[in-house]
Amino acid sequence: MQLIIEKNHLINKFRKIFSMFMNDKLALISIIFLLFMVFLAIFGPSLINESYTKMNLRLRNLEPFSFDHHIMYFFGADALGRSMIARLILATQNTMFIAGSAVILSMTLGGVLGLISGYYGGRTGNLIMRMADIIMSFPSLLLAVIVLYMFDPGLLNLVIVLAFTRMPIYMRTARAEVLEIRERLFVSAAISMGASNLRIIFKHIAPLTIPTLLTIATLDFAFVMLGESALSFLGVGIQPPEVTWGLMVAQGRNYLQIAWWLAFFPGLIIMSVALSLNLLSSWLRIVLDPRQRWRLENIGDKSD
Amino acid sequence: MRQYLSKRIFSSILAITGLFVMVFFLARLTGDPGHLYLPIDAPLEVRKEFSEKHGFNDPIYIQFGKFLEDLTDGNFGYSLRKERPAIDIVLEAIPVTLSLAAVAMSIAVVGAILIGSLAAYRPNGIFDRISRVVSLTAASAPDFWVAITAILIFSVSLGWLPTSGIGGVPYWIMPIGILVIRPLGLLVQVVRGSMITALSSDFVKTARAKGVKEKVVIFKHALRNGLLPVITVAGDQAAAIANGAVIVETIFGWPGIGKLMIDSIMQRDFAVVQASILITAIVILSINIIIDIAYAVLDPRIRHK
Amino acid sequence: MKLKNFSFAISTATIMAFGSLFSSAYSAGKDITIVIAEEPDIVDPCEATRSVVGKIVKQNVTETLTEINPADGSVTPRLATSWKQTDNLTWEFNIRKGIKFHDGEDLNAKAVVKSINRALNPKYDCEIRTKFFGNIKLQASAIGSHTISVKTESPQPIMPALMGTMTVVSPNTQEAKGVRDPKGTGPYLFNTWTPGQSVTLKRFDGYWGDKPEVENATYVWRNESAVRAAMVKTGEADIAASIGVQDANDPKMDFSYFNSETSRLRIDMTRAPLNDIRVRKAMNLAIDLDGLMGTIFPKGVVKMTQIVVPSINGHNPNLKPWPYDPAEAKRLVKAAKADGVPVDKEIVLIGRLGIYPNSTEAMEAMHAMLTEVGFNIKIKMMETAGWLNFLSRPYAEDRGPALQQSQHDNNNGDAVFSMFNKYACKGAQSTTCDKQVDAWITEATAATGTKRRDTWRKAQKKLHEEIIPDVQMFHMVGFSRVNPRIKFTPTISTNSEIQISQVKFN
Repeated sequence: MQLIIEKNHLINKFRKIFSMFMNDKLALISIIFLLFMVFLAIFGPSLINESYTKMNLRLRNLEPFSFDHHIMYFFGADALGRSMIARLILATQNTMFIAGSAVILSMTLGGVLGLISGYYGGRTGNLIMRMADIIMSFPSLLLAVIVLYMFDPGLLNLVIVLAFTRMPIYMRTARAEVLEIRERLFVSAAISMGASNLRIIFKHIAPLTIPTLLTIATLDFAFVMLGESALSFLGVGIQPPEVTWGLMVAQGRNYLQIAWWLAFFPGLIIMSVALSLNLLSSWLRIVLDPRQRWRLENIGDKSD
Repeated sequence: MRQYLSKRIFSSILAITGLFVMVFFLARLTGDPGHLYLPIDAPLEVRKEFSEKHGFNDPIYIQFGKFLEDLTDGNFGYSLRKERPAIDIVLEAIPVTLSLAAVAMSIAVVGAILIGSLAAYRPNGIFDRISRVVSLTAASAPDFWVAITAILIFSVSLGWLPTSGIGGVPYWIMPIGILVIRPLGLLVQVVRGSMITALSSDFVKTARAKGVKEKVVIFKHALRNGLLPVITVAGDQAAAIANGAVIVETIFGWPGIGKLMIDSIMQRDFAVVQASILITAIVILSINIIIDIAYAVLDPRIRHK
Repeated sequence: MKLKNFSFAISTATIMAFGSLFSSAYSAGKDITIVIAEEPDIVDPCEATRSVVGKIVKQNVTETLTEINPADGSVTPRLATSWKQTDNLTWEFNIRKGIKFHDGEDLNAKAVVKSINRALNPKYDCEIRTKFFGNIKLQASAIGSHTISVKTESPQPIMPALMGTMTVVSPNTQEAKGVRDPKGTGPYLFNTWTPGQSVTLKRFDGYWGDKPEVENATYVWRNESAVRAAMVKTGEADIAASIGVQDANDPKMDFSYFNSETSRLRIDMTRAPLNDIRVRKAMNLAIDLDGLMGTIFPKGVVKMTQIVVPSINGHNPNLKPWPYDPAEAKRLVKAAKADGVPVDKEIVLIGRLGIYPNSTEAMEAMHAMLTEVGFNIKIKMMETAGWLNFLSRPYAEDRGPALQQSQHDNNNGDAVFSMFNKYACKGAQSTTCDKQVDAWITEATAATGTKRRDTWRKAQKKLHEEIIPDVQMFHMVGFSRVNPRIKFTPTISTNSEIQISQVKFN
């Protein structure tokens, strides 16, 4: 009996989310597109035949949209004659991995630091916020360049640097949320009942901050992708033979005049993913805001 | 207010000091500038002599001590590359970037208020949808790619604008355009969001009920409140626009602070790196303080305290 | 308050923008604009061997005693009219008479000696000294009103060529490096320098030679090759020095020329498996140079057989480039493996970003071809400073086997500027040590005439055939775009100097 109710509850929840997607077609398209990208990132590299990612100078800068070659060359070939489609799929995994891990890392670290700062306040809290100020008072791109000059611009370092430079937003947001939540009744209740600080922070406060942080994170994913590509432009991004969309755009810029497709397709994908994330994030914002959620729940009232 | 301000300034100084120490040590870990400065074929003896002369062989903490000593005399060090005081070079570059950023930010803020308010007036209306997709698409493109494509289209193919360089209005159009895109896309969303909230708030409803004209409602009552988050976000964009400036200045050949920093980091010209980081951080933190004040002035809740 | 802020920002910006509205950057009349890749951080003529400084001041503002003919490496007179070797260690140069510096001072022996001493002052790190005179002890003195003698501690048979790097500045020039308004004897006066924006030169009416056509020359700089090329196309500039091959797509205005650079992968011969000759042979056989020409590398490049280009004294014309033979390469790898050579070991391919156009793609291609014959290669692209840490001595003790993308520029007429540093046991970037080659290098450095030439050739042959310290690639070509309204032919020396006096109008 209990089980059935819970199951029904779950189904209802999904139905609700689904209908909220249906009421925002742009968000629906975005989530479908993003899910497809995630699929590519996970399974893509194992699906493509190695021969399409091998150098083949005879096909160098092959023009797109021709049927003379295998369908894998439909988007043309790059400066080394590798299939654009294959390269783009390979890049999906790296790009998603870098941006995804950077965002998760900075959200977790920044969130926890913000929570601590907001909950304890005082000297510790201030110290943490000054740290955020330091990072914020300096163009993140330059900081990343300095650090990447010191260490190898490998996958891991890239993730750490990108995560580090995006941290302050989470620190500030988490702190602001905590300051507000701390005043609420249930927290005082928990404190008076003798719950430990850690328990209060992670059991009672943290869950309430997660929706806001997630909304920011979806947006941030786009920023991290763009930041990664700017680093590639400056030559300190990920290094070949690894590949990301950002690196493809940066390398392709040299060929804009003779082979526009080298930079155009990866640029288009970066744009589409960023756009989808933006749309999804504004949908999330509405869904998570009790005062605005009705906009997506009732189709009839759309004309406000 | 005064107390708040002095506290804020104090903490800013702390932040700058922290940043500075961090950069000083990080930069020195990136390698001996002697390798870069001397020709590849320079004999070993010349290399050794060079490193000794400039103190690059000393432990980092001794170099830091020397630097502090100079700093107390108001001396930011001497550029290894340019044979000039580092601070002079930085002060030449700052106005270029500031004027670029000021124009870009003004356009972005004004544009965002206009577009955002119009979009918020009828949420999910046709204008809202179009402006949302267009502004977000533009903000999602890699800026260096947009910049080079723009040069190829507007200068090479159409011949409407000069390719690059500093000069009259035509020279400003592309760099400013590139710099505006990202903050504009972001700010439009912020204005839209806060205007929607403001327009559905009680005092706007009251004003409307009283029969106040729609224009006055939007631009006086709603906008005033809707602007607050814009100011915060615009402040955060101050550092972000410096990122954009690095790219724009590199491509369009503007002698600003962004390009100077990248070049001096690449050349390991530490004195210039330090001076430019210090000055940039001061500028960015000052802007943030000004924004805090503006916030206090505009927010009725804080103002009336 | 907020309105005031806004209007203030906007009005300041408007004033700034309109203030310069009428300044035009388009060149016209007898003036030309040259766009180079980097900003000069300094314009001191004692750094004229650096290409960014040389392109502005060398032979334009300041002249050298001798000049090296780029076509064949021969030495011709410029400020010196003649020279002779008086003994093993001494050279005498006769200085041209009746020449005045831009500030009115006379050019005489004293002025030249002062200028030499300034450039070689160990207190300042002028590049002329650190690059060419780093380990030469030299004593210059005036022995007549217009004759100087140059004494060295060891024989310097190519002193006249060395003097082709020595720029002569007015005796009033400050002693310390960093002069911001250099005064020489050249056909152009150093006029203005707006840091970050431009340098302008103006024709010098008191020039001793022929009167050049160009009246004013403006130098500007843009990082992106596409932008430089676009500037000539739109008429904003007249010469775009060094553009990428992909931007040189207009045969009417683009010139390609040998740029005296030679590009190779240096093999670190001290580390296994690279210490095995079969491995090094296999690497050379694995590279499809023909496939790279006209694709990743420009069409005009020439397969190298040695570090110096054909116009350099000491180049051996009888050597044959490596053929492309992947089957043989695979066989050699297998044979080496059978003998216990650890050919599976990871070999790092250290590349440098932007060392030449498409440098990253080139390394990806090399990676692909070396992997194909069975090597385990890992690319590591680095920016200049990081890359340099691996290039020169002292090398890290714990380094693993590595190939290093490198490019060497020698347009100074003689192989001596290459051989010691690259291949002698103590050479700054050498990873090889062969007694015989070392002896030949020492011998050739002190020799003259055909003996010098033939000794260099012997060394080149042994290196190419028996030592194989490089994966050989190409003698490179460069591209420059020239506006059809002027006549100017870029040459092998355009990398290091742009003589504006040679520019004519159509």
